[in-house]
Amino acid sequence: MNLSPDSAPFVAENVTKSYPGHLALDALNLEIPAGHVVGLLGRNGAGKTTLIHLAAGLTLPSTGTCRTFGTPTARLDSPELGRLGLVQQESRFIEWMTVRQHLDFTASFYANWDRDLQHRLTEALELPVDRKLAVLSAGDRQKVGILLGVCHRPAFLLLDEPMSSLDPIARTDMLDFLLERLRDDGCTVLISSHLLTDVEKIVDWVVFLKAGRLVENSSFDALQESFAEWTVTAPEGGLPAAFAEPYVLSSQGQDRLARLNVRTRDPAAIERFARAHRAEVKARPLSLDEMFPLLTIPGRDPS
Amino acid sequence: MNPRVHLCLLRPVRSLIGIASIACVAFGAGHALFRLDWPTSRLLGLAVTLPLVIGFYLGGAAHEPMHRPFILLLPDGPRRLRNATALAVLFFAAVVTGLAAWAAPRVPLSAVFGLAAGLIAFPCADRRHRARGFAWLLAAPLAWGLFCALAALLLRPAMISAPAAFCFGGLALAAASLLYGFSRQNLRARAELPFRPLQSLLIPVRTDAAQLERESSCQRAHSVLGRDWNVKKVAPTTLAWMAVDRHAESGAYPRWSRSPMLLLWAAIMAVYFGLPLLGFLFDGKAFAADYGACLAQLAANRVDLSQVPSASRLAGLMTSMSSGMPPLFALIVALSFPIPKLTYPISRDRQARVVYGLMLLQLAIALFVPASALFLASLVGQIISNRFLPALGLPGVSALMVPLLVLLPLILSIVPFARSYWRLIGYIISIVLFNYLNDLRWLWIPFALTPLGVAGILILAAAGLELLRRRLLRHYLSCDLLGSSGLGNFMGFAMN
Repeated sequence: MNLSPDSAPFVAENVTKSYPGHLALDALNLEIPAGHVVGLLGRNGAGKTTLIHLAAGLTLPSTGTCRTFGTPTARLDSPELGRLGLVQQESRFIEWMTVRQHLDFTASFYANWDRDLQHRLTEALELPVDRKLAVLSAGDRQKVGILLGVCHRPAFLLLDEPMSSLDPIARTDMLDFLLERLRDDGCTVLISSHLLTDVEKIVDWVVFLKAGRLVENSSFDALQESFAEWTVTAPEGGLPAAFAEPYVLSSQGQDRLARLNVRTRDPAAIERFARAHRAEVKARPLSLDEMFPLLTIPGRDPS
Repeated sequence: MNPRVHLCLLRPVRSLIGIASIACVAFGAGHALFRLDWPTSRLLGLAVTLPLVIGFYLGGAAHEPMHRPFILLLPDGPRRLRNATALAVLFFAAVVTGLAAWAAPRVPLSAVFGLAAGLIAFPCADRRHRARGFAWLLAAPLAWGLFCALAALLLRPAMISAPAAFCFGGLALAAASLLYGFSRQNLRARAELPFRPLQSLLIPVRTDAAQLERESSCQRAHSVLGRDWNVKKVAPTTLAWMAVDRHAESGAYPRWSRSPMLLLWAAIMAVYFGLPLLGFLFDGKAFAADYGACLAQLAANRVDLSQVPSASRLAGLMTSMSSGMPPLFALIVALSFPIPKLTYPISRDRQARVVYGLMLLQLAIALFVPASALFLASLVGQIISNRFLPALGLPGVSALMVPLLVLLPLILSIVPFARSYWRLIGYIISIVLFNYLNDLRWLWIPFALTPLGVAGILILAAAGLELLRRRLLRHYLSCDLLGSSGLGNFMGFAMN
């Protein structure tokens, strides 16, 4: 899929971000498609948070160009920042304020702060609005971070591990809210999370990073169609210990029964494989959880 | 406990720098402020000041692990820590006694040893139930000064006449402090409370940031409810966003007296106004004469302390520090601004302008506070001593204002903002540079008072401020907006 920069809320062109002794992102080219919920996935240290900070303009690329809403991120101003929402795993708050004070304080920065949405979310997430932020639990702090990031109805919402401290009910509420936002406003969401079963429910596009490099950037449906687990049964035996087919990513099994993880877009591959090995093959699509190690563990190159 | 582990906790380089610098200031100031004769001053410094300073560093090294929950899980940890601290107390008491044998030969060494051991161990008994770094920093010099004033006359004769009492009394104090400070009950109270040792307070490191954050959070959780923010929509102006930032920083303090920033400036005012006032009250006309001479000297020339009679060292010190210290405080405060605590939806350019505005505000306060303190002191001094003093006129004001106006913006436009170590090095170089240039003011003050000089200073000041503005704009176009805020926080006092 090739998107023009105008339609993409965030574009990174040949972006490298380095810190002393550490390369966080390496020659990254990426466009976030508008109107999608994009899952930003990768192992710890893959560069997900750095990418989100780059998109928000909090950090700047060492080389290359980042544009959010078509504006270089170093030049983001109130019109762009007013349409951008950021929820961080550990948000920085003004600790002496109560939740209500902080919401009022932040609301004054935005022209289109949605009080109704604020009240609705406050109630849904059961936030103690009269308590100081300094004494809130990690889960409640994360809820406040979510409210501060979404109540101005941003057109581009950046979520960095937004649900890691939430209980299952709050997580469900949060997911429902995101889907509602997408349906109502067509908001673009870039979400980074390790809770893949949750992410899987809402994303329609995925971006995988591995050691600062882009390894996957495609629609979730296309990704799911290309990955599968094959259960191979050969009644006469004779299955090899390792399969030579290039699309076989990993295999487990013995002489008569093997379980393979494969990646191929060729619908005829399964028939060819069955014929070649004189075996019966049953295919099952992989979940995001199962795809994750295939895409991110060093040494495996599923492309 | 393994001595290497204890040495690691003590952070020897930081401790040595800290102890040396505090002790040097204390020795010098004791002689200058309280006009003690040198033997008494040396004894006071060696047997009281130095052990207490060592004790706070040693106590810091012991308290740091005690304020972490893991200490409760370490088998026999507290006892080992206590024993290692006790050994260190005896070692340092012996060092102090060795120094006293050389510097105060007539005083019995057993008395010095006992007193030193007691005072080194005493800070270990300090039981912190909540964070209070800044208040403590303000209170400690005042308490120390009060003690010096009272003890100076009594200490030396008492130590000579009753050495055994000092020796055993001091050792008993040491034992009691160690037993109480390391008791199980105390340990449980400490484990969950934030604490920063002096080692971290004076020379900041990145790893202290998390602890600082925890302390600040803990402090604010217990503070009274902050002010409400009644602005419906922040106007798109730099002034409006300055107000936003100030509310975020100081809105927690409903009364002015609770703001550490104001407390800092009030403390400076109290020192420059309050200490001379003591001089006027206790030393009347003699002090007034010397203070007046120092004011005149400040205006016309630099204050050369060696030329000032010892009876008025206080006056000389105050007037000399009046022109040197506020810029340093202003520098610290100004450097605490570069990165705001919260990410605001404004451009980097606007953020730079907000920071610039806040720095200008600090400069204005730094200009106003010392000048008004000196002026008030001379005014009140005239009334108390019933003697005419040259009120702080244009020369004096220019002596205070010109270095700030001209040099401080220039220094701020050079000091690195980005990394804490570079910032610290830049900060130290700036202090040296500032004091050196400030000392040369006798060269330019006569010129500064001519119309051409005034014009020149204004042009230089405007150029410096413009350089600073451009530097901030450039900095904000390329910096990360994620780090902790500035040097002021690292120095141990959040600039609220």
